[in-house]
Amino acid sequence: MKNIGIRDDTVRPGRSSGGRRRNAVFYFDLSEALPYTERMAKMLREVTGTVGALAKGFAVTFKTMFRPAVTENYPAEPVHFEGRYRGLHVLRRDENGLEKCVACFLCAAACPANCIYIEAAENTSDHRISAAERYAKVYNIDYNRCIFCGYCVEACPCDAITHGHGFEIASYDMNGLVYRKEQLLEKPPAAAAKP
Amino acid sequence: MGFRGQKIEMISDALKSKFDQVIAHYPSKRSAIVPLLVFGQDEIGHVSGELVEEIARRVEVRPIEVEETIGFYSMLHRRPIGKHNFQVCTNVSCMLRGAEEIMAHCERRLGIGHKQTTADGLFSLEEVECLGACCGAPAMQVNYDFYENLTPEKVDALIARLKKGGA
Amino acid sequence: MPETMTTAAPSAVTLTIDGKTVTAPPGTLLIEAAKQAGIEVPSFCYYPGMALQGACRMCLVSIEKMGKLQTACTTTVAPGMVVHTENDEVRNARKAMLEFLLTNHPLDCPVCDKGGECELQDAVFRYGAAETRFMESKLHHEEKQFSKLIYYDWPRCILCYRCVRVCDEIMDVNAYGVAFRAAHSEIIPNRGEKLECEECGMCVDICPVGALTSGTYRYKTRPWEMNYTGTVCNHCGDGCKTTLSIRNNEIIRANNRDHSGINGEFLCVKGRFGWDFVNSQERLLEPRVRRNGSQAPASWDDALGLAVERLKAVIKEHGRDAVAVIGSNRTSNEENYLLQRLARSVLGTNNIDHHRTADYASLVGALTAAGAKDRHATMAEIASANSILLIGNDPTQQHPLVALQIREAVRQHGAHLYVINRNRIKLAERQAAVFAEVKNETEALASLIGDSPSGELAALREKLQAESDTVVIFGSEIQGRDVQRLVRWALALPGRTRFVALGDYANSRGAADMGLLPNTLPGYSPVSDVAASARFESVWGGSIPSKPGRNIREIIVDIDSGAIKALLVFGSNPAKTFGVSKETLAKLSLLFVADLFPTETAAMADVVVPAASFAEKSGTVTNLCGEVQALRKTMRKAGTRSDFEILLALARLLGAAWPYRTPDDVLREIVERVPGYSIALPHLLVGGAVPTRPEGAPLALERADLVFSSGDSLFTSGSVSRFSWALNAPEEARRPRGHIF
Repeated sequence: MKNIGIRDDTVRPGRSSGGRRRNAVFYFDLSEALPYTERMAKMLREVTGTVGALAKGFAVTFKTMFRPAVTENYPAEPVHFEGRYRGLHVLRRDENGLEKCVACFLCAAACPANCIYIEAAENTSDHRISAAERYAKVYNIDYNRCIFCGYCVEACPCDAITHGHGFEIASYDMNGLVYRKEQLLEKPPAAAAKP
Repeated sequence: MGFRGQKIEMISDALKSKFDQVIAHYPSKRSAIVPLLVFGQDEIGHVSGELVEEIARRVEVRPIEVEETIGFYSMLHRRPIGKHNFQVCTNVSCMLRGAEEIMAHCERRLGIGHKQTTADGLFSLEEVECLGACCGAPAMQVNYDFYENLTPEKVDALIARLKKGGA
Repeated sequence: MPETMTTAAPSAVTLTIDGKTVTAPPGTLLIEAAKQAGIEVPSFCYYPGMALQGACRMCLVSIEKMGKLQTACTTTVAPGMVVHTENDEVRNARKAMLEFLLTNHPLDCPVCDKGGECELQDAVFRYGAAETRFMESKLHHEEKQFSKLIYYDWPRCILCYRCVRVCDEIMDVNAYGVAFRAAHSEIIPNRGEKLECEECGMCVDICPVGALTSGTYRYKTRPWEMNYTGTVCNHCGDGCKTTLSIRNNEIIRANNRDHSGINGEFLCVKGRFGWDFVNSQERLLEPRVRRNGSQAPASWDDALGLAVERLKAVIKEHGRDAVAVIGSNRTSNEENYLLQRLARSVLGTNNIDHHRTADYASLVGALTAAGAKDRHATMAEIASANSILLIGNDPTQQHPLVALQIREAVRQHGAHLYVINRNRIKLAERQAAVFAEVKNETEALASLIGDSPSGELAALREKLQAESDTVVIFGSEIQGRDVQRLVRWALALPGRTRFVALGDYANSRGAADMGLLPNTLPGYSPVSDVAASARFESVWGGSIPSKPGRNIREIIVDIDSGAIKALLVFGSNPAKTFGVSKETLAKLSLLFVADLFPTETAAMADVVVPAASFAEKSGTVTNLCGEVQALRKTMRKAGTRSDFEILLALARLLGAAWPYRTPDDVLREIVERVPGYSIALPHLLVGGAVPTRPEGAPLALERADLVFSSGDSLFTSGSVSRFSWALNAPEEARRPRGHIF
């Protein structure tokens, strides 16, 4: 039995991948073992199959030409995010404009990168920051360390810390990457100013 | 310290001798706390701080233990109450016979609610559990007197009489 | 089971708990027997050492052949009992109990101070009852401020009565009660809405939930955010072990929840709240030097350089005896040892003294003379004594731990307390078997041990002579020869009499032991004792002057007369304690002060250097029972140096080559050289209290006005308490001292 390959790369010098090359571009079995008609039929099937596959492939390309482009033109245009994108954290406020964070330190405890630093203090009737007894006097996230894993958001019992969609934090100054509470906090609702 | 050192003036000599008598009835002095409180409250009108101190001293316990006892019993009043304390029963028998109406009437006529006292210090109102006067429901207790088969009119008459200074 | 009954010894009961065979003495509570077998039965109201309550129903266990579940905290062990602590029935009962406890509990764990170390939280985690079937809205009361240091949050309270019992039974203050009924029950303080008590904070400490919170720790941080270091409280002489909780180089709270040390979990107001002087804004943080009449900041080199320059000038001009040193009652043993080495071997003078608050020298001398040097009572021995004789002092105010030990001795095993005092102190009124109210303790002692004691003293003596193993506790009222007389007389009492002298401050005993005395070397040998001097000279080099130096009263007189020209003061405030006038201090060529705060003395100084507080250094201190405990460095304070470092720097500048690199090096020398201090270091290093047995033949007390107590109350601690918010904030701190019930 003799196989005649038009191109047989298996023995091409410089190619170290062992074994027989399986995906030769053309491969016709011209051995005498098969009757002529069968050999011709097989060759035709190969040719039509190849042409069909090409047409199918190009059809996808052709159809896509008429679809809207998905490429984002950042920074010329704003970036689009999926809802669950984990970007810069946002500290939320409640419906009264008070901070939701009660400084329970669970985010800091959950953080695998140890990047959250909190100092707690007690609310008083004159100086009320959060709805509970305690609030975060200092709340820092060190974005040098943060790995945006979202554990802090999962740990938060008050839904106070969430992931926003901010991501443009590249900086030449590492100190600037330690974000303070004022930078993380949601803006107070205009209508819900304190009475 | 505190007001322990102050002279006790509100407790009469008669009451003091009564205290001595009562304490003598019990094998353990502290058992006399409740009766002493009741007698004291009857004379003074409520359980005053001085009374607490006096009783604590006499039965040899600390004042806080007397306070605990007072807290437990709703009939002992730590703050001054009205001269006439209306205790309207709203338990089952009385309720079925219209006690809630009587209570509402009292509230309206006296202008006060449950556990409140009128501004002139004459009346207090309280909603209480069964007085054991089901046979005469709806019933009410004013200080130690019972008034039974009440109607709003009877309550009005009672209030008017008490306002005039009757008993 | 008859076979168990026959096999069990009469002194022990054998039972089965969760399949384990447990043997316990009869009368043991089931919960304790389970604990011994390593089985935890949860409970809120049960607390070892306090009366049984049976209120929380958390410790329910199932006992075979008993119809209902039983409370393990009130059931005693019985032979053959088969107990299950974790079967389905028990678990369901506990879950139901928790659900019940949570009906009004707010579940504000993220906010609550106790979150993370809460016993209720732990139990709910274990049994899972966080979901409730109650649809009714939770009852709510506003939080109350019982005092500046103690707050009460009603909804969180689970009515375990621990605070009520600890205040009544352990503290004997009884400031709490429970008023009202059922779901409306409430913890009430003794003065209407406020507390009037010792402010010890035991209630806050013992509260299993966040109902009672501390005024200094409230809403500051969470338990897992802090670092914990076990050290020794720096206020009175009792030497309570305390665990300081540190965050960001700041002490946040102090407690002793691990029950370690001689005090267990006990701390008084000073120990629990009075550490805040360490964080005070008024701390000295840079050296100051007087130039042209007023003090100005200076560098360490300048300050120490100037001090040494003036010292050398004084020595050159007026001789070594023109220099005097006053030591501290609070600095560590190592620092005191170095201070007297500086005075004796570097400056070459015995003019060294401190404010003596009890006559330890006479006690050690008397015990040594009687051949009874092991008769110093330890703190634990006070609590286990059969009888206690207390002469003078007011331990409730001045020595809260000693007072606690006395109360425990009386409460737990019926010890008899005999009190001789000029005041009707609280222990005399509440615990004493016999109280002799006298005009003067010294005269009373003479009468007591004389031929015909008068009045109550006669009865007291008669009863005391029928006791055995008495612990004799005396204050500064008994000093000098009276101590000798007392010791001689009391040693003749039946049994093993032991002694405690009540000195005021954290290391009053250590200061005396380390020889901060003009006539005594470390370990109470007189300076004239050649053999004793040689002991130290062999390691220090040079010679120790053999002439006794001036005591503190003579130092002051001689500053005034001009004989003393340079005075070094370490952690002491003689201007206040001894009333030294500004004019007198102004006569000095050099007044060098190392202290934490700008005291009256520091204000007059030529050189002031900022010293480190107890929390900022390592070392050891000796409590009034003679037990040595280790101080551990817990934090740093920028700008300060420990007295150890200051002394080392001074010695170096004065030309002495000291080999010490750490306080441990000094401790090793103390252990080797000071009689009675050859203590086992491993026990010390793991936080234990190691008793010392000093012996020596010190010279007699020079005069009567050298030993006196500051008479501190629960809310004062010498000059330090002025700089503490917590010790000045409570109402009680402003009252004249009196009994607080």
